Amino acid sequence: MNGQLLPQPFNALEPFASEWSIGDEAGRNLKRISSTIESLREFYQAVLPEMQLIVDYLRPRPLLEFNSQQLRLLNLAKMLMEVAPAIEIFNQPDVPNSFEPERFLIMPPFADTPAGLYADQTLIEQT
Amino acid sequence: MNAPDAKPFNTQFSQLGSGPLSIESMTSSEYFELEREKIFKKSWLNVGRIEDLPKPGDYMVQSIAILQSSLIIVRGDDQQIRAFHNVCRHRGNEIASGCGNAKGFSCDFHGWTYSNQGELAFVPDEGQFFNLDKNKLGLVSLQCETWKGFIFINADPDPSQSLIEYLGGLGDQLKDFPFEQMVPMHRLEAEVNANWKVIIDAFQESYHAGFVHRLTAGDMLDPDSDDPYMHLSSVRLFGPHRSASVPMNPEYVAQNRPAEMLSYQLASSLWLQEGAMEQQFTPGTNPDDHKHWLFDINVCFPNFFIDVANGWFFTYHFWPVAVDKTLWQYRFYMIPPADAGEAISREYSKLALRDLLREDLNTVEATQRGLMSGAIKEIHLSDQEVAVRHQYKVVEELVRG
Repeated sequence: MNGQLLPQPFNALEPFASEWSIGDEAGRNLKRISSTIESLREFYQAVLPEMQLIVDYLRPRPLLEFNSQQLRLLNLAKMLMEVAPAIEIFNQPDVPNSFEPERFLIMPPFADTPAGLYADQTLIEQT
Repeated sequence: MNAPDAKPFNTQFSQLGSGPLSIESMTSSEYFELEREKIFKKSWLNVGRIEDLPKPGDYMVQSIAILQSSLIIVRGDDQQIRAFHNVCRHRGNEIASGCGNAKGFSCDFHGWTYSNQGELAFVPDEGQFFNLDKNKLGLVSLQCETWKGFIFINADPDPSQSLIEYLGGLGDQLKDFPFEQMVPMHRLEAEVNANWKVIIDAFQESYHAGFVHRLTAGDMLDPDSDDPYMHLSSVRLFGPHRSASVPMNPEYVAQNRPAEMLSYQLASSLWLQEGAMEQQFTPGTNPDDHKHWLFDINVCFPNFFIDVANGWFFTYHFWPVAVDKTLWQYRFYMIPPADAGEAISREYSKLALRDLLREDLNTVEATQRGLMSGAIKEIHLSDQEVAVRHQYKVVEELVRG
């Protein structure tokens, strides 16, 4: 490995990878709502222009066979989607006039069920 | 005062009347106890889907406050899904918690052990008991049936209707929807300080959309059209259940929202795909064949929703805890992503709805506080809130009947 967190064609996004590539929805949402709108905008403006390239790079590869760099890139793209409403709609990190986030649980798809214990279902969640 | 002209849903469902409604059922603890006994302990209640329990021995424990019960939902070694009270026949201890996979359940207190089909399999030091007939001391079961992969239980040992009879016309309307092709994308949950019916009301009319969702979905409404308030395009009542169809602004293009637009370009997504407005609708949806149909609200009485759209559906559970407290649960299902483009698109779909749901839940606690203040005795409903009216009519008939 070359020590890079993202696949080589995305070197320009490398500074964002360690902080913004988060593997679960609850974590991505927490990152969004605990960030300033300025840092969200900086991330958004850096990643949005790369989104089509990211999709073109990842789309031909089998989802369940991603290596760790590819998975980080996918999670970075998901983070862009998470951040998008803050920039495109609200102009603030969290939803205005909304139910308190501390009381609103975001859970994996099979939380509290036996299906959630099986590895193949966890893969669905990751993708 | 507006003119008392005929309004479409009041004409279609004249039995529901048009007068104001008493708020007693939303604020009275006595009424809540009647709902427990006359509704929840006698109705078919959804507790999940068969995919939650994929393998023999898979079980999940659910504490259901309104039934004052902890239940074990389990797929037995014979593949049948059953529901049992989580109560040892020896001295009443609970025998299971959480979820997992097990050949059986063993009580921590004295070791009585039951198979995953509910039979009492082993009693330690059995010789010390008196005429113990293990064949008659299996776990106490509840009625449990499945429909289209949805698992329902009924606490009434002798329900007046089978599940399919109970679902009636709502089951007919949804029977061709491809539930089995979709997988859950995430699960959301909140304990909400409001009456269960007050929360349901926030999810069964479109009148609020232009206000509560003015930022997230305001552009779905077209102020210049002949439908500036996103009126329901049709409503159906099926006994205690109900279904309403919501249209959208066909001119909606996610202007100045490039990430949202990208999600539509990458996959059949939340609301539309480029040029997809006139596409064939998913079976089991859009029963009145509305050209600009968005999604159907389907309320399975008393506390379960199966809202369907093109290529996705979601469920709500509204589990009453107290007259002014409810456990709200949501699961969103889509066709599993085939590639990274679809995965990224679906991520936007699920979080866009999630943000919108936080707007919905924000109103209901304030509503409950207003109702509990005693300042008003009744509420006033428009023709667009026919589903709200139907809910209170059904509940009142069962509670007073």
